[in-house]
Amino acid sequence: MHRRHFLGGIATLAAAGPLATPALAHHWTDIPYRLGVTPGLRILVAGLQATGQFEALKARDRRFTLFAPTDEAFRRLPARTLNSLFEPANRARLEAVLAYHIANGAVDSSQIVGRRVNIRMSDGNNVQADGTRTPVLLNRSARVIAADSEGRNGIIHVIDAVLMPS
Amino acid sequence: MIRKTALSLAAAAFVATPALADDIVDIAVAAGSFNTLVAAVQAAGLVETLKGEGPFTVFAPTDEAFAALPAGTVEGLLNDIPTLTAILTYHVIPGAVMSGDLTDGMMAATVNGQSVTIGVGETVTVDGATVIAADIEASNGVIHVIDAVILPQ
Repeated sequence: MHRRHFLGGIATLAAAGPLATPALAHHWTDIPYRLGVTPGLRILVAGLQATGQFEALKARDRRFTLFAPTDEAFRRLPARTLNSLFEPANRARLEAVLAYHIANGAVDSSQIVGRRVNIRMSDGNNVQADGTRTPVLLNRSARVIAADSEGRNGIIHVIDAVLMPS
Repeated sequence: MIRKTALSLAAAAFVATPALADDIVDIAVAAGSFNTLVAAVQAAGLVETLKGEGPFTVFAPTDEAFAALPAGTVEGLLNDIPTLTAILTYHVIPGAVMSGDLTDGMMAATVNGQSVTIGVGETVTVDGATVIAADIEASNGVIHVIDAVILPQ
């Protein structure tokens, strides 16, 4: 009896959250939230958290495009490269590499498929997207394996290789 | 404070009435280390299901496992019930599957519809999450405790 009462209490508490803040529900669909609930992106999330870019991607007044390399993509890098990227002394390098995966503004696949486009990334370098290929190929090396995961403040495309700024 | 008191009551009830068969939810509540999971199951409206006949196998992430998700993820999920439900049902397999029944590389279809991949080596893993306590038997199934939240595609 006590237990049942207790469970009822929790139900009320949990239900009160979303009901009390309907306007905020939308907020949670931002890029960091989408990354948190997508499997296989733990290394990317760890990197973005280490550099502070994870928080920056929560911005409500901007939209982003994020090319998100999977854990497998990171593990395909030479072990030395991957380890070195995640050394605290190399935070600036990690931030630069991750910045090369983020564009200002939302680019969905309809803007890429069927054509070749250069996308200017937030580090100032371009990513060449070849939309005449299926799946779409980036910099002739990374394939888009899940396109158009859309959040409130942008779009995530999951890719199978880490992009390296030249 | 209220929650702590309620938990002690639940624990007391558990100890006082060993003959009463505790279901999966009762056990998770009484354990005290699955508060986030229990709140999530409540929010998703899955309590009645998990108190139902079953049997079910539940891979139960600890509070620490939920806390290891990126900041804001759990709050986000409580405001995104369809995704929360998809994730929670991905932790449940129809039928009672004991750890001894698991084999390396086995795919097990979850209530979500997608399958988890089992690994059996020095430890048992589910989609890479480690089973840290196995074969906790409930009246309507079995609980295996895992150290990470697993995510469907």
